Amino acid sequence: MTRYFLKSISIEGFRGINNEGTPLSLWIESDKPNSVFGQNGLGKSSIYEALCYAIRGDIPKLEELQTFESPTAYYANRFHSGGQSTIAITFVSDDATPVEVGIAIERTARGERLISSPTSHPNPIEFLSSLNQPFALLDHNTFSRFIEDSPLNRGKSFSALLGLDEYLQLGEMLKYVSNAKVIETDLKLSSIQSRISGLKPGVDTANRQAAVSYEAATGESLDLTRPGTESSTTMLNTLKGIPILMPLLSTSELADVNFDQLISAIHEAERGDERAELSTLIRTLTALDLLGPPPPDSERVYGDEVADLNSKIDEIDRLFRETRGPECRHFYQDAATFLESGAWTESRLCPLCESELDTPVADILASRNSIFEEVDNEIRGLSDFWQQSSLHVRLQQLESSSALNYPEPAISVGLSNNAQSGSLTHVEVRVSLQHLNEMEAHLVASKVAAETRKTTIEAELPPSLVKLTEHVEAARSFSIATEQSTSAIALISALENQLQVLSRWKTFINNVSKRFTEEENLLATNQMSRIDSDFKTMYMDVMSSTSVVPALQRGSGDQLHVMLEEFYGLTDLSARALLSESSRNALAISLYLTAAMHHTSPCGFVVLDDVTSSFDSGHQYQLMEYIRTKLQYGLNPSGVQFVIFSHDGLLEKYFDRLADDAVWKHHRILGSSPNGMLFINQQSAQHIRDCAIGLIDAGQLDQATPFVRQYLEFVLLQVIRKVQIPVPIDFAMKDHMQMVGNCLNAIDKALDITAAAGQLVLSAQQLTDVTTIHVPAIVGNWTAHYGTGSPSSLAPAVLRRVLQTVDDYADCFRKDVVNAGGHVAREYYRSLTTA
Amino acid sequence: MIFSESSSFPENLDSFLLNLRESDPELATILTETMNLLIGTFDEPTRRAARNRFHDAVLEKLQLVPIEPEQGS
Repeated sequence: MTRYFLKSISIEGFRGINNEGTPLSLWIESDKPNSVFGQNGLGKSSIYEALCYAIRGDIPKLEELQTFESPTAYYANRFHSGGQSTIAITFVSDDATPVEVGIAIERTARGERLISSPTSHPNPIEFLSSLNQPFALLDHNTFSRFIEDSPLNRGKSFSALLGLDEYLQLGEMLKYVSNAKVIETDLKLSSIQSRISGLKPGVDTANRQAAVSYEAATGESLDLTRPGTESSTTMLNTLKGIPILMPLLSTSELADVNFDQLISAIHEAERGDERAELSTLIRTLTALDLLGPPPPDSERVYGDEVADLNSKIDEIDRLFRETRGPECRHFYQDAATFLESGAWTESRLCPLCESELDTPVADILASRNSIFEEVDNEIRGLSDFWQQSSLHVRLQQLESSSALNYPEPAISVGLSNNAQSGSLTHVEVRVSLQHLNEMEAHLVASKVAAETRKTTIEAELPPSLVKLTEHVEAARSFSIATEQSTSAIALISALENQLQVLSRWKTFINNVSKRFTEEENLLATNQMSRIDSDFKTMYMDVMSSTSVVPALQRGSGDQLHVMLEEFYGLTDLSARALLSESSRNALAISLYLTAAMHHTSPCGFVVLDDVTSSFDSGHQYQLMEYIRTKLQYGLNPSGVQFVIFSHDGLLEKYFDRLADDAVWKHHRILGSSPNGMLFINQQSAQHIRDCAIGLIDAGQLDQATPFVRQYLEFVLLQVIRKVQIPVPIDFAMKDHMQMVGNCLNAIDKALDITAAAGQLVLSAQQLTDVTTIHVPAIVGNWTAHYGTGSPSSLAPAVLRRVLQTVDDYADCFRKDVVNAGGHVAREYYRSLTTA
Repeated sequence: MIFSESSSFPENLDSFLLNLRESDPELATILTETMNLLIGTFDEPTRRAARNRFHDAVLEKLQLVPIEPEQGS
């Protein structure tokens, strides 16, 4: 598979890189490691983020912000006037005849991500997507998170690293759609089963109804084991055998028969009006029959009841008379209440007339009130007797019968009310008996009349049609029941078929999911075993120890455990529990970089952003050397291209030294971020000088000063590197404000020692110029001000002079060299002692 | 083992689906025609939407499956 390396990156208006009109450009080698050094705040991470945005489509750090922080507003450089970002990347293939692919990624002011290809790649979006591999862009968080993550998340990350993320994602989806609950919900298996269960009783009911109707219509039992069409045909033929129906039965299907039409034909043939009257008469006779005869021995019973009622009425009248009238009752009751209150203490003195009494007044009142209570009891007795009397019960029964249709008004309710109030009279009792006797007579006469009419009509109507109607109705009932049964059976059958297919799918997709997971596990196990040895070797090499050997173990599901198969003689221990932070990071780095080496994808590069911050210098060196000698494409034809971002000053010295030996490509970011311009090291040194001069000329001394400092540092560090001047161990760690002075001191000491030894290669004039002219000028005009934190005192002319002085200073470490064309050029001495 | 390390994901998926046809050709065909609905990166709720689309498509195709073919996969 063709792989692609990074060749160049050009950025404008993105994150901390303004560079309006002059994009920051980085040229990257494919056959040697590349490094990018930048002091804090100089846009180094912005380059890494530009690559993230170009290849992945976002910046994780911004995506993790909360919505109210408006993460999308921070992609573009806030000082770029256009508010839009442009990232142009050139990739080069590793084919025998390399092909360049140019991709331009623009983020518009509205936040749109537009992708195009200046080299006319047919599908630049897909091309970028193919480069989006888990190992392509790695930062410190990636590694620390890998170890600290849960085994499941680590397993997912690892699967992606092995190129198995698509398998993992599909495997998860297959598990999801084969989950029993999901299948149940989506395919509605239970619902279908419930519908089937609900339909079956309906079929049984319809079949029973069909059987009853069939027997009623044909006189035969229905054999439910026979096909339904056979019994329907029999039923239809039975109907067709009836002469008055035959003309209406041209159909061959019972279901097509119009039963209403058949009933109408029968109705007409059997004189329907008279039949309706007959029905009414039958209903009337049934109702009259339900009234039954009078109670046995009714005359005597009624006579006794009348006598009892009259006796009770007489007793009530007698008691009433004793009471001296109902109005006195209230008086007696109030008087008794008065006495009970204790307000009257003279028991034999009348409270009204104050006359002396023989009997206590309370006894008199009690006697009077007891008579009223007797009246009440008698009335209740009368009412109860009336309600339960045969006379009243029969009277009420006949009056409530609509079939009897008695012409006189009902009286039983009124009499009951009177009995309840005690006002029932002898006359009313007598009238009630008379009324009842008249109703009894009316009942007998009505029954005779209805029976006579019924007999007459029945004699006139053809009796066979009555049966025929019953047959037709039975046939109709049979047809409906059969239709219901047939429909329900057909629906059940369809549902059972559906259920069968769905159950088959359920089993199938479940098996598919299991088999896919098995295959994925086998593939992952094979992939793991392939990188296992290399990753352990790399880890032990970077850590310079064979006492600790890491191991990966796949757990249940997609879990991945990081273990130590050896730990100073002990075995099978937790890596997370025992390893230091740097060792954990080294383990993760080893795993990711080994996976990158084994990966088969179009992505041929790995970009590392500050991944060694937890390492000491020794381990940094080990890692970088491992990358350079074992993993980097070039020395290793199967290797990948590395781009390493760092802000570590010591590491930069390593990069610088290897860059001088042409086995490393190092870039140093210079300039001003986020509102100014950024440049890349020596190709841009002249840009920095020009920038400084331009700003000085424009009177913008505050902005010019950092450029002057960067230019001075660049030139002095170049002198140190070119003529191999030794520097103190803490040289790179000192405050950058003092860096120019540090450089001058280091060079000065080296000159003194070498001159004292009589081995200095510089001419006497060069040495004199350095020590008596240039150094004092730089110290007086720059370090005395900038290094002490008071750059505002620097005048434009002074700044210009400093720039010229440092150029003259550097020239003292050069010599004339005649090149092959006969031209004279200035070149640095190889060292202070060697021309 | 159906999946091969030297094959790409689409190639391995094709082999897998081909293998399924040996046991249940009809359902394997349906899965082949609907599998693309399960491929991709999903989170909630896109995962739920993908599941719904997949089962809708499967149900539609299952209606055309004749009754009582061989069982299982």
